[in-house]
Amino acid sequence: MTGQAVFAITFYALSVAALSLAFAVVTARKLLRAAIALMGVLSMSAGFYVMLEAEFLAGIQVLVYVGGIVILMIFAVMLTRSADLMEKDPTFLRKLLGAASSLSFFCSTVVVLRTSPFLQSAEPVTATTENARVIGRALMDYGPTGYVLPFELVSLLLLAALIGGIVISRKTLPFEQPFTSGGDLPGEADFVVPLTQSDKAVEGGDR
Amino acid sequence: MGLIDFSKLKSETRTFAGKPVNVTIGPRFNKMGVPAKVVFSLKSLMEGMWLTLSYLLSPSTVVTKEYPENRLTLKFPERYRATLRLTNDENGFFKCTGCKMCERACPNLSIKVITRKGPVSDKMELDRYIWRQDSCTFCNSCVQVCPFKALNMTHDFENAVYDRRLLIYCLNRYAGPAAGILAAQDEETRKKMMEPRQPYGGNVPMNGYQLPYLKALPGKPADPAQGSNK
Amino acid sequence: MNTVPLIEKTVHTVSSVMTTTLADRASSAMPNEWWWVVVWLAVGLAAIGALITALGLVLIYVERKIAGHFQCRLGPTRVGPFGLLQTLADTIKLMVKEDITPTEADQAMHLFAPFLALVATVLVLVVIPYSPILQIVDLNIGVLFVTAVSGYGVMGILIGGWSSNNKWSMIGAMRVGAQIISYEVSATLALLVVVLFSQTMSLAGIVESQAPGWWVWRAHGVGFLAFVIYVIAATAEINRTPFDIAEGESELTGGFHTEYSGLRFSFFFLSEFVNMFAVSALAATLFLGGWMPFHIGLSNSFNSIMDMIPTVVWFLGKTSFILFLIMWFRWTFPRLRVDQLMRLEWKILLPIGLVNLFAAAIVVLTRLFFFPGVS
Repeated sequence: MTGQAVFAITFYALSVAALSLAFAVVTARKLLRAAIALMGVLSMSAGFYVMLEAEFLAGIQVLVYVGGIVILMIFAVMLTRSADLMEKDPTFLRKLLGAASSLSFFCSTVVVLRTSPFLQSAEPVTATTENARVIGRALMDYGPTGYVLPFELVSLLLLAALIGGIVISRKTLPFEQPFTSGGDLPGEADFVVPLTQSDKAVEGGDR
Repeated sequence: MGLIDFSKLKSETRTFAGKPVNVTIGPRFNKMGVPAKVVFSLKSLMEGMWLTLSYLLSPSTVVTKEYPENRLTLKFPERYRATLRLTNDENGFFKCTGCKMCERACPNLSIKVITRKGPVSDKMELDRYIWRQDSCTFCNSCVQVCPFKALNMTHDFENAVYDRRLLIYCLNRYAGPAAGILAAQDEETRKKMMEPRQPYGGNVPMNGYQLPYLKALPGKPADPAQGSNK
Repeated sequence: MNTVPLIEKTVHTVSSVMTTTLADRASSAMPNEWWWVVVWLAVGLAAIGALITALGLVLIYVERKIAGHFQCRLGPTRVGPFGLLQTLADTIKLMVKEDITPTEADQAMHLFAPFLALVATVLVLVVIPYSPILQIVDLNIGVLFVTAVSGYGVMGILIGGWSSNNKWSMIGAMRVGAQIISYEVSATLALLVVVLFSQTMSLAGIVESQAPGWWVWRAHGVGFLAFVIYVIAATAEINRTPFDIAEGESELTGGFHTEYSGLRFSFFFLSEFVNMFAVSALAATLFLGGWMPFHIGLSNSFNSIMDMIPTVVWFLGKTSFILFLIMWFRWTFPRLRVDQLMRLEWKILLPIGLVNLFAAAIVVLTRLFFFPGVS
């Protein structure tokens, strides 16, 4: 009884927090604040996963979204100098269009949720403490219930993205800079000293 | 990498951006093989860690002086630099001749040497040697340039005062001959020769305050005598 | 193979000592006696609060003292006997100091950032098994949890740096972000090695799996290499010298906390030191057996002598060893440049970590541990 009450209270607290943060994401005037509110929303959904006893998924949610994606977003915002920009107040037409589109999406979602018959699974989902182990086995299984092909495809995609990133950010050869500064460039010499004009005159190369 | 062994330097011409450039090639860390690099780097890191550990383990390496307690037994390093002082010769005269080398060497204008024509000897001699401790960085340049070894950095470091103006010293507190010479003079000459100075002197930077021996500078506008001085 | 039953016996006795964690007690009390839940929660909170306070007071003093002697100085000597009360005095000073928020700063974010940074470290402290009977929560995703919540610490620093509206803070924060994201990869790879060995992510389970021997020496160098990688990566993750380009006093005045003062600065400062403890405790738990006493397979008498030392002492001893190591690094090594830092991670640590993980998989598959009877 008490357990259910606590569960319900936790659920509603999380929901309220998630919804208000999501509202903050779209209404925040500063781009960075929106990103930080987004972090809150994602953390709250991790909380939902915990309530559904999918701790592994919750951990991955926090690790990937909070620890990775939101931070990358903040990086991008900071690098593009739009962090200080304040969004302008939207015009009436934009507001109207936004309201219409969001209302239609809300309506269609409600309709779909109301009409679709959700299948009850045959056996009740039991809480397993071996959450991660089950997921790991399923990901690496090449039998009919396994997901090894999508897993490998995703890894391939990520590898392609990594290589693409390297190619884009790779340094071009220093054509215009004949003199290396320190020992860290892949050149041969630790330090390269250009001979001065008088040295050249002594060598007599110029004449 | 340590110091560069100049005997191993060699010159050659290389092409950069299509242009021939004469270069000098030094000993290089990058030319080492990877194992040699790893060994070299790890060795140097270990050396550093061993050094700091040896400091940690042997308390005798501590150089901190716990000052107020050991004030009486305080020992200074030989080259410790604090208050500037004019040295005397064996007769008790200041060795300073007023050549102003130190004034020129001072990087932040902390020294002002004022000379005058001596009242008795009729030669140029030192009038006031003004040293501003408040702006001095104790760089020792004045001591090093002095051709007569007339300057000295003493270990006297307890100079805290409540008024910044009191950090402007007149280093030749008593300008005049030693007692033996004075005793040989008659009263009038002695009075002329003896010229006691306050330890503080020079231009006082803060306005509006006066000490018994220290007159305040006039406020703005600056007095014409100084203004014309540029 | 006389040793195997003996080790099994040891494991058995150790696990029978294991009692429930605070969270287990709370959840078992949940259905009918809800007030016990409150009591256990309060106990847990108080314990964490006390731990953080104690860590702050002790670690800062120890660090200053050790730093002093590393550099031929004495460290704090004035306040209290041997300067023991110096940290307390500093704490009071920071508390009563004016708490300044720059005029152009993002006020709310500036206020919020230090708390986020501190919360991230507190969350790590929650899951660490200090002894068989001293653990707040034993999550079955313990290792994943620890890696995940460190993201909040980065967020705290990033927000703090950005909201200060100061270029030094901003540069420092961005450096921290880049650095922690990079080094988290290597740290996670090193942690994965241990997860592979012990076949669980629960920290208590990992400690139990080390009853026959600590992972740092049980796996033919693979564990040791993972330990070394983890210590390096962890040092970088907590922004300590030689990886402290985020603060870089000589170039950035104070990095991300340039604009912080008073209590909120002390939050950042505290979170740095608690982070250091958390990282060391984690390394001790994963690689050095946590609270597990040092056992030698055959000599029973030696093992029983080792068992006499309390488990908390074992845990604290191992943790302080790694703490000392990290402090030693800080006061010996010069700071790395940004490009050197990135090269160390992506070109050196990451390939080694990947190869090491592969080797670990081979070791696990072939069961080539020392004392393979129990795993």
